[in-house]
Amino acid sequence: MNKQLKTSTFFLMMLCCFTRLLGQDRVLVEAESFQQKGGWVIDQQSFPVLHSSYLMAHGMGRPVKDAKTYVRFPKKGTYQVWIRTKDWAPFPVGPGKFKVQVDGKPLAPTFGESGDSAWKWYSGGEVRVDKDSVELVLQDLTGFNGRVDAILFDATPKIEPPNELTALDKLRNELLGLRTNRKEMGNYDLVVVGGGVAGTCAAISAARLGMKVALIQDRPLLGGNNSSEIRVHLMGDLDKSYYPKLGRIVRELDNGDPGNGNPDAKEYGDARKFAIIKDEKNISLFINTHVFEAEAENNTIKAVIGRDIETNQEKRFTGTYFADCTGDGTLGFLAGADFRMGRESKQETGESFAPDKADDFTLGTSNLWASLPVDSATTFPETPWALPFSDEYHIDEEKSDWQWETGFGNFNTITEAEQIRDHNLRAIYGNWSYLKHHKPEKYAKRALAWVAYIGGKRESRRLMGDHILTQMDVQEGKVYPDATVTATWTIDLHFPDKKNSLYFPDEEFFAGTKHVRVAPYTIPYRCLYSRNIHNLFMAGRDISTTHVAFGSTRVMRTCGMMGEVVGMAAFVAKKYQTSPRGVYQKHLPEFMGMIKGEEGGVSVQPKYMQQ
Amino acid sequence: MIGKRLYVIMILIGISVAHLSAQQREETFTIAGTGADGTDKLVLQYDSSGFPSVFFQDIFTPVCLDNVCKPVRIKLFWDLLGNYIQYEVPLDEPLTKLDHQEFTPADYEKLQQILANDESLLKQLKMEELMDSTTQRLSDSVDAVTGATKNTVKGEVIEGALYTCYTLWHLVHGQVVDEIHQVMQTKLDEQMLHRFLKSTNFHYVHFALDEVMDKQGMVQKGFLPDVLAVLESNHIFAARRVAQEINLRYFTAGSEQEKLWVIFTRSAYSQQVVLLRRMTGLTLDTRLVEEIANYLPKLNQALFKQGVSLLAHQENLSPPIQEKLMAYLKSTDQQKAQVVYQAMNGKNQLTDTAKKQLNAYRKQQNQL
Repeated sequence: MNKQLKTSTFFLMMLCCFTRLLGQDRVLVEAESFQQKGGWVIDQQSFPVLHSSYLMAHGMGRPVKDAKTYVRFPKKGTYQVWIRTKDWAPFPVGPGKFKVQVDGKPLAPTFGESGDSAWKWYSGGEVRVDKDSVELVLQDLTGFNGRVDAILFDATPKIEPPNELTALDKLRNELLGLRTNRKEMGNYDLVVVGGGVAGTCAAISAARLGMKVALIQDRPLLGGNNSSEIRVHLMGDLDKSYYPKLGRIVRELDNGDPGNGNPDAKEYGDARKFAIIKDEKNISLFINTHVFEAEAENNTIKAVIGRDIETNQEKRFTGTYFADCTGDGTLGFLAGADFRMGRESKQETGESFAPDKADDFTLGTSNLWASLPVDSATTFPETPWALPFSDEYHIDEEKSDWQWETGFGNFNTITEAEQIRDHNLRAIYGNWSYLKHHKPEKYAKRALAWVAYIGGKRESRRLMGDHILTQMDVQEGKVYPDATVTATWTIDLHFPDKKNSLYFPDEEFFAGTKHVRVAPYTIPYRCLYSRNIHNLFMAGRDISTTHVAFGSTRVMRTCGMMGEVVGMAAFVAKKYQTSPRGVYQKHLPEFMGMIKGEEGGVSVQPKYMQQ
Repeated sequence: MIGKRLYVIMILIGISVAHLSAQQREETFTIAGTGADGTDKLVLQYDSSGFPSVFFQDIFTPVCLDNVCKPVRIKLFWDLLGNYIQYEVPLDEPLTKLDHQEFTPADYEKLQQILANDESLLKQLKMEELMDSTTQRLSDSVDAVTGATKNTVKGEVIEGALYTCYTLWHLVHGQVVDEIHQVMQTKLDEQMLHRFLKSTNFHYVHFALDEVMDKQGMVQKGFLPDVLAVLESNHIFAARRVAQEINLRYFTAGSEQEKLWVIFTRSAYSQQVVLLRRMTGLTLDTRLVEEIANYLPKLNQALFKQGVSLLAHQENLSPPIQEKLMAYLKSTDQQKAQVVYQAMNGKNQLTDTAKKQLNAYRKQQNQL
C-alpha cells in the first residue's frame, strides 16, 4: 500500500516537472517550484524587481533541511549547469552558502559567497545526464539566508544565460511556457488584490452583500502585517466610531492583542482568518498569487494577471470592479493610477509637519524577531558580515518591537525591499551574535525562536483619489458629507532613532517616533477610490492621503474598516452600474445609509450572527 | 565601615569596578545643597597605582510613601566621567517593594538595567505623574501613573517599586554627574589622557579623542601612537572615528603608509571601506602601490572598485602596475573589467600598451 502510494507520488512529481521541459537543449528549474522544500522558504517580496520568487534557507543560523526535486531531461547528454543566486551580505563575504547536488553528486563550487550582491548566473560546471530523471538537491550550509532563484541546464557549452531582465523574462517564458499555460480564473463583480486586513475585510464586506468576489493574496496566509509571518498587532480603536456598525468584520478577524513580534505564531489568528473566509460562499480565495500585470483600457481595468509564487502558474482574473489592497499600490501602479511616494513639501500641502522640501523619505519596514529561554546554554555563530556591535552600542533586548525598522529614505521600500529585509537581518543577527558572545549571563540560555523573513512594510505608494486626506483634515476633524471610517491613531511618523543614526549613519535600523494625539476623525469615501482609474477602489495603507495624514490612517483596524467601506461602495456601484466616483456623485445618501447601518434589506452580519 | 559590610554586588550582570579594599586611597568631596542622607558626600577612589579609579556615594535615604517610610541603603558607582556603573546593597538590608516584599534576583537585575539606561522614560516623568489619582499620594504601583503611557512605563520600572526606581534613577543621573565633571577638571592631566586612550571603557576613549584630536584631525604632540592604537582597537566605533577624522598628514611617509595598510588588512569590513576611501587622498609609496595591486584579487566587488579607484588616483603608475590592472579587462568577471576600464580610461601617463588594451576593450564592448 505504502509502496503504491510512494510510486504514485513519484509519478505525480514527475508530471509536475513536465512544464519545465519545453526547451530542447535547455531545462529551467525554478527553485520555488522544488517539490520538497525541506527547510527552505519561498520569498516573493522582490517580484517587482526580479519578476520571480526565489527559495531561501532561513534557518536563523542553523542549516535548514535540503530542498529536493526531480528534473526530467528531454535527452541524455552533457549539460552546463547555471545557478542564479547572489551573495546577499557581501561584507566582504556573506554567509548564505549552499551546495547544489545533481544526481547525488555535489557540484564543485560553493554558492552564495561571491562577494557580489547582484543576482546573476553562476556556473556550476558540467554534468553528464544519463537518465530521464535526475534528482536535484539544494544543501544549505549555514542557515543564514542563502538563496536560489533558478537552475538552468544547458546543452550548449559555455554560454552564460542572460542577466538582463527582458531577456531573462523571455527565457523564463520560453522554457516554462508561462503565457501559453495561462489559466482563465473567471469573472468577478469585485477583484480584491491583497489579502491583508484591509483586503480581507473588503472581500468579506462585498461578499456578504451578495457580490461575487475574488480575493488574491501573494502569501500563503491572510492578514498581511497581522499574519504570523510578520506579527504586527492591530491598532486603531473601533469603539469611537461615528458609525458603530463599521468595524464588525475587523472584530471578527481580531484574535486579541499579543503585542508585536510575539514568539507564539498562533496568537495572530491565521486559522481564524481562513475559517471566516471559508464560510463566505461568494468569495473565491487565491493565495500564493502575486499580481504583476493589469489589463486596462480607457483607464478602466479589465483584468489582472497573477502568477503562483510556487508553481509559476499564471492566472487571469476579469472583473467589473477592482480593489487595490496591496499596501504597495501595486495594482494601481500597474494600471497607471496617479500615485505619490515620499513626503510632500510644506508649501504643497500647507501641513505644519511636512518638510520644507519634498523628498523620498518613507517610513521603514520591520522584520520582527523574538528569543525564548532554553534549558541549557546555546551558541550562535560570529557574524562578521552583519552590522557590527560593541559594548558601546548594541540593543540589549530579548525580543523586538516596532522600533526595529529600516527604510527612512535610505532604501526604496518597493524596489529595494530585499535590501531592506537583508539590512534588518544584518542588524538582528549582528546584535544577537553580540549579545550571545558578550552578555552570556543574560543570553546564554536564550535562543532565537523566530525571525521574520517577510518584511512588515509601513509605507510605499499612496494612490491618489478625489480627496487627499491632509494633516488639517486629521487635526481639525472636519466631517465631510462622505465621512466614513473613523480613525483614532496618533499622527505617528517614524524617523531614525538619534543614537542609532549616530552609529549607523544612512544605515539606520532602529526608529523613534513622536505621537501627536488626535481626536477621533473621519476619512472621506473619496480617499478610497482612484481619481483616474475608473473602477479602482483602495483600502489599507495605500489610500489617498498625504504622507503626514498617512501617519495616522495606516494602522490595521482603521485599514480594515476602509475595506468594509469599499465592499459596501462596490455593492452600490454594481447596483446602479456606476463607478466608484458615481457612488459619491449620485448615490451618496443610500451609500451613507449603509455606512450608518440605516439601509434596510441588506445585512453585513456574519452568518452566525444572522442565525 | 564600608569595607565591613556584605554587599549584593551586581557582578551578575557582568559589570565590574575596581576591587574595593580598605587600603585604597579615597578622597571625599562635599556636594553643596544636598541632603545629609549620603548624597552630600562624593568619594573618589584611587587604584593601587595611585590613579583615580571610580566615584561612589554611600546613600542611606528614606523613601516615603503614604507616610510610611522605608529606608534604602545603597552604594552607587560612577566612572571618572560620571557614567553610572553599578550599585551595591547590603545583604542584611535588601530593597523592598509594596507590602515590604523583598526584591527578587530578577528585580535587582532589572534595577541595574533601569539605572544604566540614561534615556529612561523616568527622565521625562514628573513627580506628580506618580500620584495615585484616587488618593492623591505618591504610589509605588505603575497603575497610579498618569500622563505618560502606563504600558510604556511598565516596561521600564519594577512593579511595586516605582517610586524607588524613580528616586534612584534621579540620584544616579542627577546633580552628582556635574559634581564628578567638576572634580575631574582638577584631576585631568596628560597621563590620564594616555590611560584613557588605552582604556577598555569606550567613554574614556571618546573623551580623550575629543581632548587630543582637533577638528582638522591633528593630534596633540605625544599622543599619535595612542591614537593609532585606537585605530586598531576593539573599540569599533572609536576606531571608525579615528579612521574618518585623522589628518592624512601623518601618512605621507612610506613607512607610515605601510603601517596603515597593515591595519587595513586586519580590520573588519566596514572599517576597510572607510580606510580605503581615506587613502585615496594620499600619494602612495611605490612599494605600497604594488602591494595594493597584488591584494586586489582578495577584495570583494565593492572594495575592488574602491581599490582600483585608489590606484587610478595615483600619478605615475608604473608600467607593471598598469599591466596588472589591464589584465582585468580580459577577465571573465565583466564587472571587474568594467570597473578597471572606467577607472583607467582617459588617465594620464598610460603606456601605449595600456591605451591599446583599453581601446580594444571599448571596441569589444561596442560590438556586443
